[in-house]
Amino acid sequence: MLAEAKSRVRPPPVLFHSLDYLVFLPLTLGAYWLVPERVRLRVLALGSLVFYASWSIGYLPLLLGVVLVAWAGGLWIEHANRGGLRGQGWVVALLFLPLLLFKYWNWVADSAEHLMGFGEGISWIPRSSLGLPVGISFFTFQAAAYLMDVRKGAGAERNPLRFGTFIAFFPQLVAGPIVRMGQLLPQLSKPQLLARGDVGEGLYRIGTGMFKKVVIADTLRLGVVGPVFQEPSAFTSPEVLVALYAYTLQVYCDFSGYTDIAIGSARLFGIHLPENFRRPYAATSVSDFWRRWHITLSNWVRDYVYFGLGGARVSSEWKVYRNLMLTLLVIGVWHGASWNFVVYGLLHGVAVCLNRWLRKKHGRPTGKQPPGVWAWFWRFALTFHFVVFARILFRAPDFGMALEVVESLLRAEWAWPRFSLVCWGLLFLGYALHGVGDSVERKVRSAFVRGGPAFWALGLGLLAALCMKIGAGESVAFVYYRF
Amino acid sequence: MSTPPMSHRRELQDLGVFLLFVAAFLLEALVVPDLNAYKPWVDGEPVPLLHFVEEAPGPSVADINSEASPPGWDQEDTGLAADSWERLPHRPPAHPTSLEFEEGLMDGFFQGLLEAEVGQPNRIVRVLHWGDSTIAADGVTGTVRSRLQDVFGDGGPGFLPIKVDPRWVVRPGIARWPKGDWGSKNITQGGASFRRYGLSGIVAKVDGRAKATLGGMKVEGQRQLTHRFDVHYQRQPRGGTLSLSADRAEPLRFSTSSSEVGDAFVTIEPAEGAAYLRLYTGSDGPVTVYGVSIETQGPGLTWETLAVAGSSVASMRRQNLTHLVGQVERRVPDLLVYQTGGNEMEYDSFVEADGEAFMWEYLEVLDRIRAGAPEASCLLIGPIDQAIRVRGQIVSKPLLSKMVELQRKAAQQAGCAFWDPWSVMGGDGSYARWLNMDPPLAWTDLMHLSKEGRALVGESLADAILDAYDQWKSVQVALDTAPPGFTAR
Repeated sequence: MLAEAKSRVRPPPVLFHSLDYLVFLPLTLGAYWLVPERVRLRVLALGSLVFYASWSIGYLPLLLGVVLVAWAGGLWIEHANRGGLRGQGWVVALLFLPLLLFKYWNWVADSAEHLMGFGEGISWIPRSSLGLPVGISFFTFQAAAYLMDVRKGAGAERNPLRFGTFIAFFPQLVAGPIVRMGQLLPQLSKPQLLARGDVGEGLYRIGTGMFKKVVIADTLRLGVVGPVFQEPSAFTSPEVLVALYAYTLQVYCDFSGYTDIAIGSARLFGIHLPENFRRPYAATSVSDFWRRWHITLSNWVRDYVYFGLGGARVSSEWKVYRNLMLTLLVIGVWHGASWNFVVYGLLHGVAVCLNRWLRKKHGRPTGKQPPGVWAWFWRFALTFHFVVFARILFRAPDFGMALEVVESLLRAEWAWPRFSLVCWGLLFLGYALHGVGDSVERKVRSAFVRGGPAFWALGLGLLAALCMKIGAGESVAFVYYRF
Repeated sequence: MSTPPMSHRRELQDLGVFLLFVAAFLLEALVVPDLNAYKPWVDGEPVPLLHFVEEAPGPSVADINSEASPPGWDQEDTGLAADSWERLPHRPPAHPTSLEFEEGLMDGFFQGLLEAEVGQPNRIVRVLHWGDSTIAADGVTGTVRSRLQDVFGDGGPGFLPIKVDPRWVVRPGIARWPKGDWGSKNITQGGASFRRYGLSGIVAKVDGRAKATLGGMKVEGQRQLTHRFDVHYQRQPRGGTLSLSADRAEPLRFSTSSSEVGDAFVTIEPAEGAAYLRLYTGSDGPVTVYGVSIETQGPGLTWETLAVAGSSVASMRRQNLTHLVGQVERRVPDLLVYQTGGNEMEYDSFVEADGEAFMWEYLEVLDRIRAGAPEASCLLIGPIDQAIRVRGQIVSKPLLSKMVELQRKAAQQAGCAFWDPWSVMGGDGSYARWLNMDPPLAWTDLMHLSKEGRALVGESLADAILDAYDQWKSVQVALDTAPPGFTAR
């Protein structure tokens, strides 16, 4: 195993929480707002290409290729719709080809050979040695949604520059939110103007995102989650349990922190991106969880997979369960090419089906609040712990490690966990902030917005100092970049 | 929906003022000396954005895979003589590193190994290895044990405390199942009565009925047979009853009561061997047990992990000296290994001046553990590389080389061999390299090696010992002093 050890390729560059971004964002903003209105789109497009090139210049042609295929494909589908032609599905399939090759090919080949009984070292299916292009799942899904919307009758975008900016808009390019054509193209089609509060709200979102990512997520990753998941057997069961809670919070703070910065950055350009999270760990069922977690992906899969299969309007109840299972399976596999994610998706699928079955049995309609505090509490606790334990599959690189985590958890020895006070403090603070109600959050946000430029600069300056003091200082890539 | 131009202009104005304030803050951080820690950028760091243009692209995975050895990994880096470089196995990114010792210092240990290798009946070569968290996980020691037992035979697990807190030490594979209200104290945290912590630095105590089962490793699915259980316990006023039973044999029952506190030992030698030793305590008073040494029939070797996480020279000095001497003496060891250093980096005596004061503390600890076995060979092992984060970069702790040099000097003064895992890792800057391997060879806490990293250091230590032993053997062959039946490997 050690002979296979190799250095990792250096982490990708313009991370949202890096000094590079601190320079890149004001430069792009300055250029965007200073140039005449008619060239602003070009500035945004150029900035987005530079941003992606800084990550992976080698994959820039791939991004441009996806943009070209989706743009031309959209026009062709629109033309074909008018002429009553069929077979537009091939354009969508063509769009998914790079994703299949870069992300899933090796896994499919490994699994196929394994199923056919080929031994270790024997291989007849060629493998790809190319790394995964950053953000490929996000921009492919965004482009595919566009094509499917056009297929359903939405008008195709004729301006390639506007369409390219829609796919490659840098704040949401590498890790979402997955934006639909109706959410972004209209905004790019008209002159951009900042509305009252855009700058303050944008900076507030950037600040909260930085805090979540640098202070909470990275500190928990380095101080608790990293060591425990690296070697679960070296830790006691309470420590493994705490690490699972910490990882659950880390993933949330990491991904929602990224989303906050993306939404905040876009606001500074006068562009509104959709929300991706709505206090997901306060969910009272697994279905509810997916309505709160990575909302733009859940909506995508709901609209194009679940509804595509017939959703709940099918001839028999078991077909609804089949559709739910397939939908959650797609969500699982979207996260990565491994059996861990297959099982992760299936587990969530079973939970969603069970939830539906119980709801049907008791005649409770969807979305109805549980009756009373106790009814709410046990549903919340059960859902939360289901999510926490399913995260083992999400974090562990393979089944072996997942099993090791479970074994360490079940040793059931009691000893106070050895984590630093800072980590304990951030763990409690993180969950407390997650639990804060929307009204409180709104009040804090509007107080910040009212503060004005000097207050914003002071607030974000103090936050930067805190990040340098408490944060790891390393530019640790966001978890969802690898998807 | 259209936004009034006035509000747009106002927002743009706010954005501009905000950026000016940010620029002012950044400038302040750059020019005010008191704000040095908050400088966004310092000279020598990559220039934001421009470094994408200036720097050559990083190596691809394919480039790295094709490299025969990591950068800076060659004979000159290790300071090894050409013949040692040739002899020692190469396990990148670990650097082959020999044992350092004056001729004759390891003869006692090597002689023991030779006797075990030629199959001298019942010969057990005992190695006692004290250390801190690097050793407490049993990764380094487990690997060395396994490698050496392959050559010299399995002497059993050696000394095992009967109740441990898994946060402080673990020993995978052995049977250790305490039941009842056993409590334990260790030298890192302190608190043991009369400063008697036992050979391993962990003492177990219970007041009332309790049970503990101990056994060796599993071999081919079966628990290995032990031919010698030696129980180290404490005699004390109003001490309770202790019963010992090897497998299903009739229990040996005795009182641990005595007029004054002292140490005692009981040996059980099952003629046919036994898989488990069970200890039962009565309800007639407290019973204190330091542990049980467990050995096979031999010939073979034991490499005994006596580590406690957080251990240092200060905690080693916590032990009652007479007690420690008696515990070591009882084991009749062939080699004493001592390995701390990572936890002493903040000691005033180490940080200040040339660290000579610390070296004397270190030498005193060596004297304490050697007092019980003055004839045994002795090996000092330096610290592994540890790191800190400086402005987002992982850099080695600056005083590590000083610690290694002091310990090397101490080894020379004490007449011990020395082995340097810091050099094995690659010296200064190696922690970051080991952390960035796939799989990672170090933890993100910047202090500990991962399972794979510990195994790699263990392999390197086993390589160094076997190489030194082979060199010693070849001299014995030349002098014709080797025992009958021996052939050079």
